[in-house]
Amino acid sequence: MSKLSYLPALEDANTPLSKEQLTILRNQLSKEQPNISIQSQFNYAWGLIKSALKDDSKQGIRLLSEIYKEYPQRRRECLYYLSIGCYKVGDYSNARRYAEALLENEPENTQAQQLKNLIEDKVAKEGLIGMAVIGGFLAVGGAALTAILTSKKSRR
Amino acid sequence: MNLGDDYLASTTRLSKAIATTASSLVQQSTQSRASLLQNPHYTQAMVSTLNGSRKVLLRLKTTSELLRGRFSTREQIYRATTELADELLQDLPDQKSAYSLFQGFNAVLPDIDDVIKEDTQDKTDGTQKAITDGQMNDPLPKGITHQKLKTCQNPKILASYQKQINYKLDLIEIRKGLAAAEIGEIDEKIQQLHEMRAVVLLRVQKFEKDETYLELQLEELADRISLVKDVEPASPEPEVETPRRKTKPTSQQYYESGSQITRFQAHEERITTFDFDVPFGTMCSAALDNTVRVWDLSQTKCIGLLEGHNAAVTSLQMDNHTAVTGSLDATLKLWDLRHMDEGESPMVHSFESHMDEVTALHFHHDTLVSGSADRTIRQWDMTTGHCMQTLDVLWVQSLAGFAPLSFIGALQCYDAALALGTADGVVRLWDLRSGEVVRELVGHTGSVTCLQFDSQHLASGSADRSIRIWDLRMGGLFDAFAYESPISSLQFDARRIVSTSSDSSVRIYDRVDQRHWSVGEEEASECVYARYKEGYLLEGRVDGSVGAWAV
Repeated sequence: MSKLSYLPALEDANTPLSKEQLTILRNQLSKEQPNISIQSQFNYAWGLIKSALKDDSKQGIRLLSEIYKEYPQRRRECLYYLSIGCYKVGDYSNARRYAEALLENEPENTQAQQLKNLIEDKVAKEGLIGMAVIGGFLAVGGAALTAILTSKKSRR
Repeated sequence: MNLGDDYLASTTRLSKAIATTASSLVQQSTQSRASLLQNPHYTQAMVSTLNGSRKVLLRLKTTSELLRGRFSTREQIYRATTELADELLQDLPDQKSAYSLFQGFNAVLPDIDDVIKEDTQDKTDGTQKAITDGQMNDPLPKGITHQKLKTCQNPKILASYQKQINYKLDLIEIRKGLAAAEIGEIDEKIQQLHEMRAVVLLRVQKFEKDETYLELQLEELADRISLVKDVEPASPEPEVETPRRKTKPTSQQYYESGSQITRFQAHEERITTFDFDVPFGTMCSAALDNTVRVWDLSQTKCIGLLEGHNAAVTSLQMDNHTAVTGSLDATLKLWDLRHMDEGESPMVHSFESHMDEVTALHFHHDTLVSGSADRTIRQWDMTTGHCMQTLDVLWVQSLAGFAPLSFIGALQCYDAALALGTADGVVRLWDLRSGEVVRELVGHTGSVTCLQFDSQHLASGSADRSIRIWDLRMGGLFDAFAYESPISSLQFDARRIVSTSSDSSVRIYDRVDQRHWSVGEEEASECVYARYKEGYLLEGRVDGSVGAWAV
């Protein structure tokens, strides 16, 4: 039953579907117009998130957030999917918000906990780089400032 | 000057430097990121800074996101449409479904692959392929046939079949569970929509009430204007007939068919007749308590009395602001409903030539026709109040065995055409110009109590409990049906025939679906009269109450 686990692992989001598979999922949506079942909506959304193209993934996140708004009963699991999707496209702040919101309600959800840890590690790394950037800013800025000041002084 | 130039140059240099540093740091490959992180001095410095403020830092947006997101409007739009607000995140229902959407996704994938496989085999129509529910004839997994299951001798292969079928069964169970859960969600949505509908319906009702109120103000204003004008030298300007109402109530059509809109006590005694202009508009009602009352149906409020008859009114018709009543005191009176709350009487004319009770009346344009127990029909000019001609029906025989409630049960006129239903059970069509009977519709075995015609059909109801629909062109019977008791009133249009028949219900015959149904049978008292317009039905009862229904 490992193949049928309740929630996807992060790796699942990184294995794209084939083009044909995605096309079929999209056809399913247009076939069900105008009343589309949640499952079909989700299938296409998740198929998009799995895609290697970032714009596809973003489109998938958009669809998922629609499902979240429309079907309150599916919100818990949708938070998890959304968190994964946001993580994948690099929107870590939202990935973290969603994972935290889910954990607040399901503290014992180990998969959500793992996901949150992953996100925090990533954020920490990004933070280090960010610090580097800011450090760079400060260094260059300081140098420039001193340069200006000294040039001003020397003019006098 | 020099100083300024130099300053400008150094700021451009500065911004360039920042841009290159930032982009090289952010957009370079992970490898070089790693190399930066591997620099022990750098890491140590950063970690020590971070340790204390890690939590605080996590609350902030990460730097790369800031750098990336700040400047692109496309990104901002994307965020605005997809980012979920905090209050939405707080609102998490407790229930958890047995299967997740992700499981459903995985359970569907094998089917999709099957479709793709089929698609590559026959290239006929590959463009619009979708997962078709129940398209597979054989739910067995691919490569396994019933034949194989029966004939296979190899226990290993059989075990693998077992495993595959078990797996397939799990998948199907998941899809079944998810589909079942979806039904629950749809039900919930329907419930929500019902609630929403109720709210919106209340809104429509409120708007209609406001409209009615404003119409009333307009009416009073018009009166006031004419009053002020009257003081000035009178101009011989002919009165232009304007419709009394500008707007039209329609909310009855949003009630469920057959539901009661309202019920109110209009009179203390048996209602004899009534008429109304538009749904939720004005109604004139008459009862055996000898009063004629005018009602605002939107508020079910009595807004006036038509006083002048010495006995009960038994027939009544209203149109716009004109009402005509026919009474047991042998007179007919014409009323102008616009002059109700002033000192003067709303009565315009009194028609006093009949020798006995007026039992039926009908007017069309300026022609009023009345039938009386004195066995005459009189035609009146409504503008002058004069009697134009008298036709007698003295030669008509009463049916033996029936004590006629009224000799002339019902009549209707249209230009020079007159339809008359009498106690002998015959409906006669008259030409008012020649004063002669053009056609006789014979069939009823009891006195005719009510009738109505349009351009094609004539419907008549009788004390013999039947309703007959006649074809006016051919002169023959078009349709007929009977209820359990004598018919007391009827009205029809292209869709329905509404009638009352000496019991508590209003009978409705749907002409399109050929279906009989009824409303109001749970009421205690007998229903004696019903009128309907545009899906809005009013019925009056023996106990003096009037009910409004959506049909």
